[in-house]
Amino acid sequence: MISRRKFLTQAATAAAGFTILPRFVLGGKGFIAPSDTLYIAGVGVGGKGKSDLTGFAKNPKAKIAFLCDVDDRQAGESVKNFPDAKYYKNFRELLDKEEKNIDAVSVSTPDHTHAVIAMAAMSRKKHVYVQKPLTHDIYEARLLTEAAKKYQVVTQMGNQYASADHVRTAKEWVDAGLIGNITRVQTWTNRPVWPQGIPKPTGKFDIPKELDWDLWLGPTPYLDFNPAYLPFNWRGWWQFGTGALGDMACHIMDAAFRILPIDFPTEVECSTTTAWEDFFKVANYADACPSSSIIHLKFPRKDGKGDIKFTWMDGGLLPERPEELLPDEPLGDSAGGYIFFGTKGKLMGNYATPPVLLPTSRMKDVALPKQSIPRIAGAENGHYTEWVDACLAGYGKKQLSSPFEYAGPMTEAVLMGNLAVRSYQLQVVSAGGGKSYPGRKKLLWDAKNMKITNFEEANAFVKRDYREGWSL
Amino acid sequence: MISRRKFIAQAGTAATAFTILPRFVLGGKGFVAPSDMLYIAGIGAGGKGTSDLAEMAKSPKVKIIALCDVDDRQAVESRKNFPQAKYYKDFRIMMEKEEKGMDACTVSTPDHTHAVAAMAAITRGKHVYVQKPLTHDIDEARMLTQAARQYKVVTQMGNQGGSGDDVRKMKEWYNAGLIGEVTKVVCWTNRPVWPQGVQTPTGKFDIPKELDWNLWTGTAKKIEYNPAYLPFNWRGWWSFGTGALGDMACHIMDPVFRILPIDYPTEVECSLSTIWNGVFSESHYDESCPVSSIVHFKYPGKEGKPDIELTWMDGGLLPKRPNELLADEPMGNWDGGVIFEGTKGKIMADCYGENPRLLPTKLMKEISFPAPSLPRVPEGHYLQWVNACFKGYGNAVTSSNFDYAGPFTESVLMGNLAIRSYNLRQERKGGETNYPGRKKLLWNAKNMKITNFDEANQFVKREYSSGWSI
Repeated sequence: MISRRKFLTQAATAAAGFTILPRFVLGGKGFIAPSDTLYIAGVGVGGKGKSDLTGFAKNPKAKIAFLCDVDDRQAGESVKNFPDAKYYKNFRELLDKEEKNIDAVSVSTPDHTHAVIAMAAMSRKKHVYVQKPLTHDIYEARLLTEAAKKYQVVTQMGNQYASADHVRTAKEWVDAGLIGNITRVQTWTNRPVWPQGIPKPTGKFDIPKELDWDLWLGPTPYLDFNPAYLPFNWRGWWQFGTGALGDMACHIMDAAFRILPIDFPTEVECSTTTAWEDFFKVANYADACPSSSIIHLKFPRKDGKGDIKFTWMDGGLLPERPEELLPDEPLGDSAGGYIFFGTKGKLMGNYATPPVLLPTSRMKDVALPKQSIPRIAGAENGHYTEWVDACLAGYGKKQLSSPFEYAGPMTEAVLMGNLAVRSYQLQVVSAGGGKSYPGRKKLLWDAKNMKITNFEEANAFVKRDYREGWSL
Repeated sequence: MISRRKFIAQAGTAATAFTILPRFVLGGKGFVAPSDMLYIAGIGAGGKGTSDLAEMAKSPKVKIIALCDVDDRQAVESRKNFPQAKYYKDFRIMMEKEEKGMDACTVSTPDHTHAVAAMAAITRGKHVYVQKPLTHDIDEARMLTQAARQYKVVTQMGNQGGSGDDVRKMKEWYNAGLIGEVTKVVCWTNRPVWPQGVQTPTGKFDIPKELDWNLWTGTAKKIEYNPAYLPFNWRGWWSFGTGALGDMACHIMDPVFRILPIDYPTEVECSLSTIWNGVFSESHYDESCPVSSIVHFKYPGKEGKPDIELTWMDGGLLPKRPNELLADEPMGNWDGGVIFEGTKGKIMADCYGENPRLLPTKLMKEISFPAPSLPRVPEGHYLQWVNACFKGYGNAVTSSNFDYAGPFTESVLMGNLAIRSYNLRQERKGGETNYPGRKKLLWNAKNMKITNFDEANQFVKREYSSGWSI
């Protein structure tokens, strides 16, 4: 089998007048690729990036052609997995130099660099697969969603369980009316499973030689290197991560977004577990995501049938057990779960756990509907190859489980939770030393204009300021 | 004015055949005291004890005759306030020595000593004022409640907000049907306002000479002295304290018990904020009360009323704002609050049931409220008890007598039982951790037994260290 790359190279060699056209130029609507290989560049190739790339590579039509990581230590395993792939440290250099040799880009960096990298790829008409949450900020999610349309690129957010069977089963049951009209959704996670609500790391450390710290910081303000942030713990710090919501809500809230006619919330409120430095001395760890939180969102149903009251809980906090659930029956699974409250019943599940009707005795008593929604080949593992196939087919040709038109609004809702948490954390110290928290109220959201209308300070969390030299 | 003590002393001198009878013997039903003085001994004289005694002493009819504290440093202020009061370190010795000279007793020690100290007083026929929560354990609360009836002593739990006007006003609103039948109540507090969910203190320390550590630990298991526990921080440790619930639920849940016809829950469940010491590395600080918790109780309806779901939240966690509350309106106050959800409306109030308002708050201008019908307690919580002690058992009402405060405290402690059950672990083969107590616990109040998780019953009644009994 001749690869597309070889084909083009050989063609170019054969005829000097022949211009080398990368696939993305040729691959417009209806165009059949000269080869059936998708050339993928992976940016952020450690951790989740590593498994994303092996996920794509399971599709024989995918070729992991380039690897990029600001930290050589993180890249080690992917370099071993894909020895042919050229390795870059700087994604901008990668895109500049290899633009013509890349069809698609996978972004599995820490949250704070998702948007700038994805946008750089999309504006070069590269298809993108971006890890969840799609972005760090609400504004970035909105922009990426618009860019996917503008540049006509095939997109997928990396919430792979969006391709799982369970959520489709749940949708079939809800669509069949088994629990009536849904008015309330409860979601929760056991995350964070790492310390949050803690003081900012201190100390002076040498930057490891394998790491380009300045690039790792990307668009965020400069900060002295501290090993406490990487490779994993950036998740719990607002400058880089998006906390428990960012980690898990794109999985756990997916069922609600996939099944219900909702997109943008109109209201959000929250509370968080207080951190104490000492007796009567409240800690102000506003740089850290909270140890646990409860978030309430209100979504108007797009079908006009009222509102959905939506609750998120994390850090070990659990919703009240539905009265239909027997005392000894498990609530959700170890990672969390969701409960849909309908006018005729309740449905409980999680992204990797099959749905059940409550009381669970209903599972024997009710005639469950036949399968009507197509399943994704390979279910959650098919999420990667589904995107590869869709990229090869071209924009608008194939349905995806989590394209940005879906994943963008969902990510915005997830990040609205963080906006509420950070508003809740805002502490104002009066001249007399008294502390007040002006953001501890119900925040009203104008989604169209991306604006909190009753607490101006909250809007600082819609869009953060990038460091000089960085833009979307 | 001649004091009762002097009167008795003089009488004794005058006629040697005259037997000195302490007031509690004379003061049966309908008996008019020979003097109008109440002789009080204070156990736990520092902190809340200082203010409790100072409040009692505002009555000219009260004399603080004895003070007891295991820590001289804690007793300093009260000893200054009451220089004539005899000072003891061991309440058992005080009880023996002062039995005849005292009418009543206040107990303001850490939670783990409430029951033994109060019981020692009650069984001697002394009226008691016991700080909240009434006890550390459910079993102790049940026993004190029964003992108060058996020994016919006047009792009051120190949740002083229970004598407030506002909770009575709220009850009048409820009785007038302003919010219909209540089916759901949520209470919350900002407590703990100190670190909880923390590692057990370590280190070796010399016991301060002013402190009798052995007496301080009392009924609790004997541990090495550590200054981290006192004078205040015992609150956050299960061996001694009762956490945020113990500190605040007796204030914030008081309106629930005062207004609604409920006593014992039938179900309880909870969840806690998890503590992590590293990535995927969970901390199990079993001796420390949790950093935050959510507890759900269910009470069967009584007197033809519907079942009631009661939710408790602490550590900064808040209930969902009621729809009727405007976006910018405050919910409760800094300490917390309570919201009653009725079939026809909602009432929200601050800590202690203060500042009740109907929701939406604009109703406060639109509705005509019922005239006050319930008696108020203008003399306040402390003097109400003082006055009731004079009148004798059964002759006067106290806001938080043990018939009320006992079942109420049991509910508060049921929350802690759920929390401690939630933390119980079983290590499975392969290193996986199982949490068998993370479910809905079913409570048989009559038999004081969790019926679907036997391990939970260890938290109904703890084992006292040797030498202690109730």
